[in-house]
Formats: sequence, C-alpha cells, structure tokens
Amino acid sequence: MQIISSNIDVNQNDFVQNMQYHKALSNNLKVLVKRIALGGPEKSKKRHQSRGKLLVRDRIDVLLDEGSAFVELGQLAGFELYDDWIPGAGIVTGIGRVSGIECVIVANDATVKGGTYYPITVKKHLRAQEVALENGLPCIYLVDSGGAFLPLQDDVFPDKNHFGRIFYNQANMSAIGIPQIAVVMGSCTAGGAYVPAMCDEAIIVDEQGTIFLGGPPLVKAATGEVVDAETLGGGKVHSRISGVTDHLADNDQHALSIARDIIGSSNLMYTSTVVHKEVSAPVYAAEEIYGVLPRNARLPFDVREIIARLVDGSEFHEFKKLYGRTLVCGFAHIAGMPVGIIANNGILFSESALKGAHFIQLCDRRGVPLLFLQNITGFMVGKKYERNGIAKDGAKMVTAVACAKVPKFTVVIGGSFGAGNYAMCGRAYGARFLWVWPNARISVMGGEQAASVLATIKKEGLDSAGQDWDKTEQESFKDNIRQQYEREGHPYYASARLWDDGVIDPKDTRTVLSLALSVATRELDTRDSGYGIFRM
Amino acid sequence: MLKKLLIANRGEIACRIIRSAKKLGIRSVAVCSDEDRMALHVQLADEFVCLGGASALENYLDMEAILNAALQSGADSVHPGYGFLAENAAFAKLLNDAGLVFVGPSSDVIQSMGSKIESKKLVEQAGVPVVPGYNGANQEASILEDEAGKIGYPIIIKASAGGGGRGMRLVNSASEFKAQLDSAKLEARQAFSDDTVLLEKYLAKARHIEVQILADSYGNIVHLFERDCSMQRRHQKVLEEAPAPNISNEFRQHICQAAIDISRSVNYEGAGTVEFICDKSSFYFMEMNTRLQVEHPISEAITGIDLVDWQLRIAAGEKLDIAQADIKISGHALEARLYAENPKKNFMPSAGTLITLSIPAEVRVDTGVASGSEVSRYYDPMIAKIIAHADSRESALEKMLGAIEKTRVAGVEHNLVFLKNLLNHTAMHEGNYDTGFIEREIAELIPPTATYDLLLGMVWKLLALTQPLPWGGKTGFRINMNNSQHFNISADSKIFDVVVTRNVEQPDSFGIKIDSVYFEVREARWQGTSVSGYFNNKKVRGDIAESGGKVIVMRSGGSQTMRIYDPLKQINRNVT
Repeated sequence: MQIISSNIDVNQNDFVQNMQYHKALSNNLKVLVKRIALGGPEKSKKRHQSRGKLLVRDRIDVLLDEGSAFVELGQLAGFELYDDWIPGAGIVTGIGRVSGIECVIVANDATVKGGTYYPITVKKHLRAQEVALENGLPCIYLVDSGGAFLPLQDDVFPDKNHFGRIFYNQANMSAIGIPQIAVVMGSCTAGGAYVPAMCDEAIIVDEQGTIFLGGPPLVKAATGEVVDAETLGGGKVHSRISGVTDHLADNDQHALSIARDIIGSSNLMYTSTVVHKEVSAPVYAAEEIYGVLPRNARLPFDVREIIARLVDGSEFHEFKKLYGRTLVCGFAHIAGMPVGIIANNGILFSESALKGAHFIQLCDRRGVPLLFLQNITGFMVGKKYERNGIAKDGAKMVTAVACAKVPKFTVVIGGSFGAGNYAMCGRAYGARFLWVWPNARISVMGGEQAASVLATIKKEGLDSAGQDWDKTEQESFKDNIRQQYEREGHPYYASARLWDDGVIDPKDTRTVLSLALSVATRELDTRDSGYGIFRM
Repeated sequence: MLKKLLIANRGEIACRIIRSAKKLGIRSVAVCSDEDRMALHVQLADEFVCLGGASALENYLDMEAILNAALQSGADSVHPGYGFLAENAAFAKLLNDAGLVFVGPSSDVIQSMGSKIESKKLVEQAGVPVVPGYNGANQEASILEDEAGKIGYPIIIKASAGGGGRGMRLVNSASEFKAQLDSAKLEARQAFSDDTVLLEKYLAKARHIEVQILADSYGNIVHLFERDCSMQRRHQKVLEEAPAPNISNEFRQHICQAAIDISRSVNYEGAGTVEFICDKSSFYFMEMNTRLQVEHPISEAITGIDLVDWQLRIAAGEKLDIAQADIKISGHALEARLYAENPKKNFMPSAGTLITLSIPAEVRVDTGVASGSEVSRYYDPMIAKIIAHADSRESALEKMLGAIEKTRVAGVEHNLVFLKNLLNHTAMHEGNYDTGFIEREIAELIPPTATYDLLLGMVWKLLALTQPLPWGGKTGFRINMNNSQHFNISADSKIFDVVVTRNVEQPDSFGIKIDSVYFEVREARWQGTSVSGYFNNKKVRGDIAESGGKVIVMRSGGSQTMRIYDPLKQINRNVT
C-alpha cells in the first residue's frame, strides 16, 4: 500500500505554533479531567473510605486485569450542565478487560450526590449499555447509588430513555447471552434495587451493600415499621434469606474478585469479523497532529496528513483520489484491523457526496468498518448547486451512512456543522463510538454564518417596518450570536450532554480507535433464549 | 589404607566426606532414600545404593539396611558423618561384628560418652568440672521436680541420649516444670527412642565453647583449639567461629588441656569434640560428641588440618604424626549456616525446589544441593555452610558479610538476612555474646519485610507485563489521564496496598505507593533477571526469580517472596 507522503515541515514556525496551541488545548482538557476524576467533595470521600469502601475509580482499577486499558465513556458528562458540580455525572462508565474479556463497567460514584441519578446520569448509564449491546460486551454494574435524584425526578423517571430503560436493557441483553453482573457495594434503593435483581449474578458486600424497594424512612412512613437498613436489606439478608444476591463478599476487594471469577467462567466466545494484519506503527509521529491542525479552525489543511498519523505504516489505499476531491476516501489498517476512511477535505459537493455514498457501500459490502474523520462546514449552497440537486446527492450519502451495517466510528477533528454532521455519521447515525477533538466545534452552522443569517433576517424585518438599525447595535447583536455559538459549539458543551463518547487528545486517537475496533470487529456467539435470566 | 568407604549420610557432609575419600584414593559408596536419588552426594560418589523410603527411619537410620548396603557393595568401611547413626554405639558394634571399619571411636566409647549421665561421671573422675545437675536413673516426674528444685531454677532438661537441641527444654520456674518435662520426654522418645532425661543448672549469659580433638589408636591425642558456638537459637548453632573471641591464652590452654584429659581418660580414638559451657572465668564439661561436627571446617581453616582425611587415616590404623606444638592458629574463621527456614514465621522449615543458589567463590561452601535441587521436608533444612577464613577476625567478618551480600537464594525461604543481621550486630563485632543472645535480640534480627524488595518486585512485574496490545501493553491506557493501578501484594502473610501511577509517555518512570508511602521511580530497568531503578533518588537493584505466581526478589543476600494477592486464591484449611 502507498505510504502517504507528508508535506509538513516540522521546523516551520507555523507548525511549531500550531503544536503549542493544540497541545495547550489537550492540556486544558487533562486539567479538567483531573478535576473530574477527583470525584465528590473531600468530606464525602473521607466518609466513604472510612467505611472501608474503595473510591469508584479504585474499584475499577482493582476490577481490571493488570495493565488493562480502560476506555472511559462520557468523561465530561454533566460538566456545567446543572448548577451542581457533578463530576462525570456521578457515574464512571467504560470498557476494560476483566479476566481477559472486555467488559462494560458501570460504576456509581457515591461521593457525588450519593450516587443519585441526574437525567444526564441516566443517559450515560444507557449509553454504556448501548455500547455493551452493540459490541456484545458483558456488563458489570458496581452499584452504590441512592436512586433517582428526586428534585429532577420528572426528567429521570418515566420516559422511554429514562431510568426504566436500564432494566429493560438488562433483561434484553441477558436474553441474548450478554452477562449482566451486579456488585452491590452500597445503597441500591427503590428502582435501583432492580439493577442487582435483574442481573444474571449478583454479589453483595457484607455490611455495606443494601438492597430494598423502600428504605427505612419510607417503610416507617408507609407502615410504621421501624427497621434498620442492614436488617431490611443487608448482604446477609439477601444472600441467605431473600436470594436477591448470589454471593456474599467480605469487602470491596473480595467482591471484585468474585466478579472477576464470574467473568472468567462465563464461557463467552467471539468470532472475528475481519482479517487481522500484522500491526505497524505510523511512520509519522502522532504528536505531529498538533502541528498539522491550523490554529484558526477556518483555515484548510490536508486531512491526509492526519490519516498518515493514525494508520498502520501510514499506508493508505486511496479511492477515487481524483474525483470529488473535497472528500478523501480510502482503505487502511489500524492496529492490524481494516478500516475504510472517509475524511473531509473541504465543503461537500455533489461529486464528493456521490463518491462517499459509493465508498460506504463498498466498505459495507466487504465488511470493512468505516471511520469518519469529520471536519465539515456543510454542503455547498447556492443556485447552481441546488439546481444540480445537491440535496438528493447529499441524501444518497446520508442514506448510505444510515443504512451501512458495518461498525462505524466517528472522530470530529474540526468543524461539525449542518447536514455535514449527518452525512459524516454524526451521533444520530449510529456510530459505535464517536469522539471529539478539543479543537472541534459542533453546531447547526458556524457562529459567523448564524450571526449573519439572523442579523439579515432581523434587518429585513426592521426594514419592512421602516425602522433603522444602527451599525453598532447590529455588531453587538451579531457578537451575542457568535458568543452563543462559540459556547454551545464547544466540545466540552457537547460532551457534557453526551452528544459523543468523549473529548480525546488527538495524539491518543490511534490508541482509542485500536481499542474500539478490537471490540467492534467481532461478534459474540449469542445464545438467544427469548428471555433474560429470571432470578429465582 | 581403606579401599572402599560407604558414607551412611546425605547432604553436605556426605559430599564433604566423599571429597576427602577421593583425595586418598578411596572408592566411595553413597546411600540414599528414594527422594535423594538425584541428590548431589549420590552424583559425587563412585557408586550408590538406594535404600528406598522417604522418612529417615526407612533409610539413613536403618542400621540393617546400611550394613547390607556396605556388604553388598563390598565396602570395607563406613563413615557415619554427623546426625543419623553417627553416635549410635549399636551401629558401630554391628559394623565391627560384620568385619567392617566404623570411622569413629569404639562402640564402648560412643556408649559411655553418649550417655549424658555416664559421661559426666567419667569426666568428673578425670578431674574436669561439670555443671551442677541431676543425672539419676530414677526418672519419676516428682523426683525430677524435686531435684530441679535442689539445683535451683533456671534449669535445663536434656534428653540423656540427645544432641542437636532435641529433647532439650529450658525451665524458668517450678510451675513450668511438668509441662516442659512431658514435652522433652515426648521429643526424646520420638528422636532417640529413649526418654531418659537429665537436669542441669542453666547458666545465664553462658558461652558454648568446644574443643576439637584428634586421637589415634596409639594414644596420640592433639587438640585443634576451640570453637565458639554461642550463637544459638533454641540450642541450634547458627554461627560459629574459631578461635573463640575474648578469651585469654591461659583459658584457652586450660580448656584445650581439659579436652585432651577427657579424651585420654576414655581412650578416645578419631575425631571428637568436647563441649563446654563457660561463664566469665570457668568452664564446665557439657558433653563429648564422638563424631565429626557440622562446624568442623572452621577448625580446619585455622589449623590447615583436614579432619576427614585424618579420620579416615586413623580408622585405617595410621599413626597421628602431628605434634601439638606444630598446630598453630592461623587467622580467624567463621561459619554461617544457611538454612531453608523462614525467620519471619518462627523459623519454620521451608521445603521446595531451590530455583537459585549462588554463593561467591571467595568463601568455602559446603553444601549438598545446587540450583534446581529439592529441599526436602524430611531432612535437616540446612542448605549450605558458608565458611570465611581471613587473617583477622575483623576481615573474616567482612569477608563473610561480603559473601552474604552477593549470595542469591530463591525458591525456599532462608535465613540469609537473619545471618547478615547477626554478623552486623555490635555484639558480634565486639565478640561479646552468649547462648541467650539470639533469643534476646530476636526482634532486631528478624528481617522486616523490605519495602525496596517489594518495590523492585513491583517494577519487575510492571516492566515484564507482556499482555498483548491494545488492551494489555505496559502502561494500561486511560483516556486523558494517567493510569493508576491497584495491587494487593501479599508478602510475609501481610497484605500491602500498592498503587501504581503511570505516565503513558514515560514507561520507565512511575509512582508507586506502598501502604501510603510514595516512591517516585525513575529509570526503571529490567534485563534478564536483573531489575533496577531510582526510588526517591536512591538507586536500588536486585535479582528476580519467578515461580508459580510468586515473585522472589533477591537483594543484598535477602530474598523476599511476594505475590499478587487475590482473596479467592487463598488456601484456607478451615479446621474447627
């Protein structure tokens, strides 16, 4: 395969400045993540630990195999979303290897508002389950949660993708043989009680875990019965009397060891769906991505320079190189696994859309996973293009993207505006994983365009009413729009709302894709029984 | 001269005897148990007879079987080594009756010196003082208790037929007496099929000094000076030196002469040791060992005389042609006994495959095992004797310490660091210690779990992890974060909480927190079995052996065994 020739001069001033700029963006991201990873307030953490409980990230570290990677999902969820500071939305989710098998881990952080579910917490939990379902990964729920966050109960409780969906997912994954394992390491109240109850196997930590439909205060209010939490639904009660749990553990470590054992004996088999090649590193350093990306997002750059820093041996078999040149398509390998790459190199024209549609079909037919490198301001507009039917050509690409059955991956490496987001496999198009770089911007259109469009409309309205709009007022109106778009278009804003699976350091993209591809390019030998396992 | 010698022993002493036999052109015949078929002494000997069985009663203690082996192999002589049948008069007689030469004194001498009661009588007659005590035939518990009261506590109970500390109990007060007596008698019965005991006054801060003698059948007797064997744990010698430190020449002359007098009084023949218990200015006879002793090499080192060589020559009827005046003390020698035992677990013997055994060549090493050998639970857990000889006591100590630093042992627990701590102790340097020293200072001597060992083990574990990418790898990828990994390490029956933080970009630098103490690790390196790094700027290196999930870190003579703790992988024998 052709090794991509790089036209980047790493000693050039511009490159060096780009490097500094984008490195700083990544550093800023890491500073934020560090803060988020601290979890809840120090006081809560101390109290948590004083009970002999491990902190949520420590639990995950103990659960994982030695040296295992952990692909965290939705790290920034809930960031500046509510008035409350709820790091990671009070739940840590991700994929890691347990007893040699990649599992989805969903772990409540009891130090954040008692591990209660805000609307975004529910969304994050459901997203993790979706990842498990799509990739056939066992689920391990480390439960330590007070249930729904009551002040926001209307946005948590009743809707299709609210709390109830968690159990719906558990039942349906269990039905097709995706193990559902709960480790009850703290509270598991009300609806939360169903997490272990709906699991294939449940572990409870003695004198720490509790499970009940109604906690002691509710019991007292309802029936007047006075009972303490341990007697009502402690580990011994559920392991010896009720049968709600299957294993009684002495402490967190013990419980996590049992979980590891369960996974280790789960008899899961996967069949690879792709031909693996020997892995080779890209010939250009991943760090150079920082220098390739312009500091001004509106300036163009050759996306092949990015591809060259992501794929095995920087080798790229480009498809229709000379046609529809604003969309780069071609085959490559990442960590030995084949991918069909679709990357923007400018605005989408009819030809580019047609080329994209063709290439997507090609990959889908061959079973080659698709990787979208999204940097798109949208489709071309104007009389000439509308007349040539850019809408229907765009629709072809959107149709191809929507219907392609191969695993799709999207990385937003720059702008993500308008219908371009759809054609390039935005969140709505079912990418298995979608990541965003810190320099990305996501909105219905660019801030500048939005400001102009809205100002034009307003001016037309004022004009027709015979009113004047002075220049400074116009500018300040536009500035407000620009600022709104800058704020809402920011990747942190997007990620806080789980429009993606996380903001990642461009340098780590290859690693993240390798991990994601490795779980997506295989199928679980499912054993569909029609029903999830009934707890007896 | 003898033509063919059967060695009725195993381990280092069998090997040692075979070496001397070879030098004299005597063919050697080894005997062995089933377990020992591949043992070093079997390999070294010219031929061997397998006696079968596992426990010593079925082989090395089976007189008939050994006699048959000797007859069958055509041996004309039998060397008993030490332990097993070495001081068994019946065995010596059995061999003599069959027309074989027993390398050692006559069965009568063995008999009389072997009985603590009789030997004391003989010694007293020869004019040498003995420790106040009771050695009467009446073995009734009440009588014994009365006698103990008369002697005055503390007293010591000894198995009359005993040796090597077995059947020996220290009793501090009358209230302990009965229990200690029962336990001593039980042990004596098991070890020697004879539960006769004697009582002796226990001398506090006493020294154990013994004199090596060599006598031929023509009445020539010489001594090879004394050895100080006061470094004992539970009456087991740990570290010996020759000559004894801090004694006057006059004292030396007296004690050596006493040994010769005693030997002469019983017409002793061969190599023997007279053991004395000493306080500041006086010495009392304790017992005579009518055999070669474990610690004989230090006497060989300071005198240049090969004791086994002379044992064989005397047994063959040769005349001892060394004059006492020609035997001089040259320098100073130390012997350290390397045992397969765990000082951290009350010196519990440790059996298993010796993965690594390497002792530097600058010291004499007497051993019956090598890397790959099995250390059996059936026999004495001694791995090797390390003997350092130098011009002065100070340089001998230095030499021994240097050798221990460079020694590598893995596979079984061992006492190297304990020995090192002993050698480094002020009391050792001053030559000012007594038989109670180890017991008193035990807390200071038992090696603590060394943090640096755990750190090196962790580093090795981290560097050597070879899980396949992308999920494995060495650094455990995390999104936008440095990875931190939690380990529970179990070592010395304790569980250590270990947190490792790693920076994906610097695979040779990381942070390791062990039980809340943080170490910044730089330049971590791993090559072959060697691992090193800077831990909070202190350079540490060691060697690693791995076996069945255990990681063994060897550093400065010590070895620390550790494993990743998994609560489910514990073997619990729940006996109620």
